Amino acid sequence: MLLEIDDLRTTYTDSSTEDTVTAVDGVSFQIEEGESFGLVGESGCGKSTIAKSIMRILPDNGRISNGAVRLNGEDLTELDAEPMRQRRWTDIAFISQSAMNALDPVYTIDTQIKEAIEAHESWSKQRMDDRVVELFELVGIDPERRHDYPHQFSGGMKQRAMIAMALVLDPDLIIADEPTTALDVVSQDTILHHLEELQTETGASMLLITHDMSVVAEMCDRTAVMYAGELAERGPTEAIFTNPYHPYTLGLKNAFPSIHGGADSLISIPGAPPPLTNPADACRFADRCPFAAPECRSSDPPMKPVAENHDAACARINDVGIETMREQAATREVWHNVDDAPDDASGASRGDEAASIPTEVSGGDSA
Amino acid sequence: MSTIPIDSDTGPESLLNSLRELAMRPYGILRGNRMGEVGLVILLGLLVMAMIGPAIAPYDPATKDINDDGTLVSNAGPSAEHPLGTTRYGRDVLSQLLVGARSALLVGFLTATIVVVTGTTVGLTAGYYGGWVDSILMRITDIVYGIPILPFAIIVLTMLERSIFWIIFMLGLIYWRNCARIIRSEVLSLKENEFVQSAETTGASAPRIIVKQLLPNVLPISFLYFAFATGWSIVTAASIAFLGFGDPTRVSWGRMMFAAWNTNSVLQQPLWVAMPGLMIILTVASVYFIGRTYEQVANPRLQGDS
Amino acid sequence: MTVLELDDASKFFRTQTGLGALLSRDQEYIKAVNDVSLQLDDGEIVGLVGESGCGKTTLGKVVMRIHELTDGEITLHGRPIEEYGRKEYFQEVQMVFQDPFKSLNPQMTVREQLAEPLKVHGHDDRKARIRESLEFANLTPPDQYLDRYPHEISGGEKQRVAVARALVLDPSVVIADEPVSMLDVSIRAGVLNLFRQLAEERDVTILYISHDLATVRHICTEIAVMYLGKVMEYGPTEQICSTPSHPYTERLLSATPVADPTQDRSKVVYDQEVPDPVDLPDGCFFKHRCEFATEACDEEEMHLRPPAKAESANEDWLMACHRAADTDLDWETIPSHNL
Repeated sequence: MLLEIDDLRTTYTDSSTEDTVTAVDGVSFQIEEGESFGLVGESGCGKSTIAKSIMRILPDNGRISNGAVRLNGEDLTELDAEPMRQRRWTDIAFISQSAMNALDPVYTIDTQIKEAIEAHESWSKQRMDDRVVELFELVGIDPERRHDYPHQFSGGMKQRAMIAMALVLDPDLIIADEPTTALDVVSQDTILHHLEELQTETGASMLLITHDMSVVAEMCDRTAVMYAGELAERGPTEAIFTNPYHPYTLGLKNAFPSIHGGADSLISIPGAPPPLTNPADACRFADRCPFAAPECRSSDPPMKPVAENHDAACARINDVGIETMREQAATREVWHNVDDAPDDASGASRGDEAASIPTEVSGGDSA
Repeated sequence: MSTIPIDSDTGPESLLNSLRELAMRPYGILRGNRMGEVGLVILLGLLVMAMIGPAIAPYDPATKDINDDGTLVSNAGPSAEHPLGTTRYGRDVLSQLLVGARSALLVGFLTATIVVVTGTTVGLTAGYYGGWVDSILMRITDIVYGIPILPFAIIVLTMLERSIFWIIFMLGLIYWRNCARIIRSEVLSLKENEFVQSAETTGASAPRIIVKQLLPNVLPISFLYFAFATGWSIVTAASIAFLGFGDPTRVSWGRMMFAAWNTNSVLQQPLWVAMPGLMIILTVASVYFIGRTYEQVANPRLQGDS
Repeated sequence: MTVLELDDASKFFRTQTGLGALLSRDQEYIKAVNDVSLQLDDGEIVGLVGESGCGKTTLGKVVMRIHELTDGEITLHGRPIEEYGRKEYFQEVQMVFQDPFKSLNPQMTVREQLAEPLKVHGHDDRKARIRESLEFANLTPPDQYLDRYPHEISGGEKQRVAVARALVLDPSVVIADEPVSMLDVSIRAGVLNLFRQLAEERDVTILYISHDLATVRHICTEIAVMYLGKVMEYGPTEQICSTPSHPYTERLLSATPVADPTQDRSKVVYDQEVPDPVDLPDGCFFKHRCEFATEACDEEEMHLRPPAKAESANEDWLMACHRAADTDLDWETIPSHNL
């Protein structure tokens, strides 16, 4: 087991109002060596916060308030700044959505990659150069172009250059946070292809964070579905898609248009995630769930096994019956008849953005 | 919203209504922020001083106090009759201070108004229209940037007359430059927002877009510059007065300091210099606090947080 | 009935502006939109798809008169668009933008945003129109939304307000530029269904610009595929998506990820980068990446022609491939997506 997230809880504090938002509330999962693990969820669910918690690059107002992040057995949350810095890039690499914008426009790509190397190792110039060439070939960019400046690369190429940079020291774990969201479908495909190849070649594990279920379906061995700071379901990707258990997963599946699909109605899930300040001890999805019962609002259901290696956090599966749930979830009416959820309501004035506290990294180094 | 009359495109009533409604916003922004509130309280205090100062001043600032033996009560320290002492010529410092508030705030607010109105208009126009309009306006701004204030002021005042209104006019003429540049910058980035394009694709005229779409979004910056300009102009006017070019017909804090210096009374009667100096500091500080509060509002990251 | 027609429409951008343009001898152009001809009928939802840089957004902006046509003609209801006054035109054609956060003025309430276009056009019955628009956009009850500011409503709601704003003038054409790409997946369907309703219930013509083929397949009745400023294929959605079509379209379709882990889709990887838009190759732009390319591809112009296999001479289906009429060509080797 390479990475173990054990009951992780991360909070953000708004300094002026003293409000605390619990962006990640008791999340646990494991990633094996060489495994590709998908974390899927919508905006504000906390998936990016998990990535930043692992890398310990939370902004100043964020902190890990509970739980452990064990990489190769070592709890990263207990490390001091310097040992953690050493682990970054060497053991874990991070590719963010806007990574391509992280390139400094006044230096060549090649210089920037070498800078990343030098921050951790003292290699000879030749060795560094060879490595850059090797990586460029791996990500499908002509090695001659390593002396170009960022503005000479297209968006997709920049993202691939960032992937190359992330892999330069052969990390055990790659965390990719929405790596292709900002790109068009062809660039996305190229990048996904290269990510796959890289993983196979280097044997690294990958934590792929995205809102796009089709990307997860194609790239990941195991998947966890996240909602409002908690995991709703977790298991082998195939199982999650062919035999989903949690109502949110059921709803999400129906919201996705497929390139193969006919023009059947897409279903949206009316309502919005609850705000994450002072989370109540109740199921977070209850307000939007067609199968909710009073018990759902009186206690937060824990993750329980529903099939082999497959867990879901729903108290109603046995009572309603999973077949019934799947059948009903495929109809539009059942979602729109949920009581407390007017179409796209903004709830307590935040709506889709469950955390009102800025979650971009404003501080913290990532090299 | 119900007060907005039905009208056609750029009817003057519609635009004026928008402006009127916008003018009410600054107050709302200040409340709830401690720094802003402190600044506001101080500024209001000074404003009150400016308005009723002459009425409550114990003496006429020009009246010389004469002792029984015929000599001037010169450079006296604090006493019951003169809480802040007297000047070299026997005039009550407290009274001068109170009356002087008026000219300070007059300069401050009037100049700031000229600065903000000019700067915002230039910034909005240059930023939105772009092209040669922008080029011309920015070149004018650049020229104004090149003008050194004090020498310019001294020359003009010497050539024309040393009146407070010329001072206000001149300072206004120069200080709008910063405001214009910053607002233009903000407009350039606002223009990229789709709501501006959307307004354009409803057929709205350029002036309408500037007033209805852009102005509300740059207003916090305008307020900021109002605050800054108030501070800058009061200090500069005091400097001008201190150098001896102030309006001789008016009592002003700067002029008090000038007089104290000129008559070598600084060490003898430090209050004569220190008190006006303190008032200037207080005015500028209050204006600074208010400005900082607006700055926080103008920061887009914080904008929109209830 | 044809509502909007593009006839050899082109939009070129100079690469150098200002003094540089005056001084340089050879003017380089980016041919963002290159001889595009399209016909949009009422009630149609036409999807405009392609990679980034293909010109679809520029085309939308040209129709919106945000950019001026360099060449060719665009007609609305039979009249060239230049003949319309600005206000007159925007009464008929409106746009919904991609970013819900930027398309609403943060300082204006929902009511004010919707009232603006009406005031500009001098409509007196504002209250009624605003309510009706909000109701159509499923922002009910309208009273709950009228006095809210953009930061007080969710992303999905913002986008609905944007749609409501576009509808308040009762246009006949709506151009939607990636309207759901910035919304959470679980709420996209709601906004997408609005467009469908618009077309079905009100006969509005919709030009739906997107790079997401899955969404486009879902709601568009016709699809136009663009590449480097040219239309490569145009036709009914089902035809294009389910039977083998233009090689480029096939590439796009096969590049779309599939939410089915049991399938092993081989990913599309190009060896060559997209050609430089300033230095376009002769003949077909796609020839370097096309497995059916022949020498003739260097010379043949990229005109739209009906494919041979369009049995019923379905003249609404066109491809920009000189081999389209080639019955010898083994189109079956192109993977189809009919599953």
